[in-house]
Amino acid sequence: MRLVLPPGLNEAQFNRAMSDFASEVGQEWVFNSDADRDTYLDHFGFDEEAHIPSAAVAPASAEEVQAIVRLANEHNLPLWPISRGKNFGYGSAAPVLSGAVVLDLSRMKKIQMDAENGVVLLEPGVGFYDLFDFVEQHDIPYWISPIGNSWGSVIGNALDRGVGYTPYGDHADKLCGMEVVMPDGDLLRTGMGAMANSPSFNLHPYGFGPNWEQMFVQSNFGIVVKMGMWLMPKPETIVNLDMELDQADDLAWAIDTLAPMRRSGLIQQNPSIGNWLRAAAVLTARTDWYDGDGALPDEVIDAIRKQFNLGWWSINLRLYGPEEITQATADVIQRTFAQKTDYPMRRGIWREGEVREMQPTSGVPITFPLANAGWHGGRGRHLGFSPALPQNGDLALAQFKRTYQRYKEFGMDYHGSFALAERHITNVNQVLFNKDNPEMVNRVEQFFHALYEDAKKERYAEYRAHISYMDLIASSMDFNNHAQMRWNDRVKDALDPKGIIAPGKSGIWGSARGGKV
Amino acid sequence: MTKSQIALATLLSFTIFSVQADWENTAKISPEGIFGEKCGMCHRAMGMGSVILGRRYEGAQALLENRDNLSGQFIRTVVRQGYNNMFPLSRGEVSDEQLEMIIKHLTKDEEGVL
Repeated sequence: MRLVLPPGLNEAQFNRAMSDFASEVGQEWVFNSDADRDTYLDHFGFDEEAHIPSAAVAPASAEEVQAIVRLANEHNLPLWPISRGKNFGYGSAAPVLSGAVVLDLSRMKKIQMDAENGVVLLEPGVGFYDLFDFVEQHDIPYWISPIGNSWGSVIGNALDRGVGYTPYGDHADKLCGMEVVMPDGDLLRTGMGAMANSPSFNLHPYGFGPNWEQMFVQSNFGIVVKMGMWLMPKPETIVNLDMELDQADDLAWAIDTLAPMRRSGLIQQNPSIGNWLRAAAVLTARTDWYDGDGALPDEVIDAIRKQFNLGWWSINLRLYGPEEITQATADVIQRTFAQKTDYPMRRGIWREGEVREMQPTSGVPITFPLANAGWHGGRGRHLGFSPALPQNGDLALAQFKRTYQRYKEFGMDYHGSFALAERHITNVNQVLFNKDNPEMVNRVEQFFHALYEDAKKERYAEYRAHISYMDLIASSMDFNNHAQMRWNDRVKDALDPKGIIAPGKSGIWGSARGGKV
Repeated sequence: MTKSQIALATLLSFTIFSVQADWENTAKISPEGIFGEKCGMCHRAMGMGSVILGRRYEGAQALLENRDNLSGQFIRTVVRQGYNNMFPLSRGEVSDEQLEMIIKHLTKDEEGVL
């Protein structure tokens, strides 16, 4: 990709900055050729040209990150920090602002383990596979909480509020203690880490005084270079409870049945209710089923369901703990469902020592679900639209019907799920498309805007957004004349007056780069 | 407890081992190790790449390590430029030196001469 200069810099100034970066990290870790830029684009987005980094620099330590941040301030050069750059569907490694330099932290891969407490202190380059291998090799009695597509960084995922499927799946809630390079190059430790050499750095969740950790989540107020994460103690058993729901309308009562058990803690992980396309899109391509245009007709949906023995929706619950507890809990859940439906609920059990199911619910990282991106052929891609809803069956069903109608209107195949957290539902709508089909790409972009507008009318917003849509989602945060966005910009101005760190992240620009204050 | 006893108790209650992860050290010396670290998540059994290639190739041929028709230049191009569902890998993630080791592993080139 061609060079797009950072805003306000000419080529000579840019080259001087590159040269200064090279003197800190070594020439071999400064990447600014056309070929290098190609590798940091958003290959999963609609338009790679909308987010072109000018270069990338890959430091190996917190000290090098500090040095680069100080230099970037001197040169007025915006940085876009990434941990492993695998945020597919949300922007991959690419910056919101073209011309920003990607600060690639993927070389920083240190793992420190407190085996007794089940806590790891990680650098940003540590991926889910790296951590899984580490825990397994050292035979540590804890499990990681992998995500559905596990290439990415453990820290990076938590910082974007990514979720897993075990009881430790709310990753932004399981982080504890951060080391952060601030926009002026200073180094901060949060929580009990504020005390040098505190043994409670990654154990006490708050520290003394204000706790700043969530301030660094989905923000651009600092660069997290180390983070503590709590791991789940290895369970003695996992009991599976699986149910297929025959009718689309079953969604409402199913949610109203699950929600009280999720709130009470009877169900400890976030169960996800997903539709028939999940398995079909991983294992087959669309042309195996249908050659026509438009959304798949009902008879094809029926054929897919028959082939894979699926309901319109599937419920897959996992219960963790000693067998006396998991089996008794399963009894209660089955009794509760039996009061609502005749659909059978299958029960299975995994016991310690047996081979684990190859699923994130069993703490095993996987990548195969993204094979679904190949559904339409060509360069297969996906995009997500994931609003947060109240935990209510009727509202969820209305959201489904509205969304399904939009899928049909735009000729796309419905790929949705409803994940129940303790008090809300995240409605993940995956949009699979073929990047080599410009007509489809154009349609998907309009489709996304329709989903956004529909959700906004209901006063629902996404919990996370693609780099192209951060401003859009941020603009819908409209209470009291966008008070929170104005506040974010004020914080940005106070900490990062030149707008060096990740301008545009979550719609936060600061006044130096055109913010709202 | 005395101060030194408290210090000892604190020390004993934290079995902390701080290490540079083993996989990284292994990867540095072994082409197979570096393939496992950088490519295995997609291109070993049940990986995304293997699942998608499994639609096009018979059985074991979906696994890159079983193939005998991959050239160094082809691997180099696919890694840096991507291919269908595969996304390109940057030099920050896989250095040129590591890429050559991956090629050595996949082309079964004992000597590393391509």
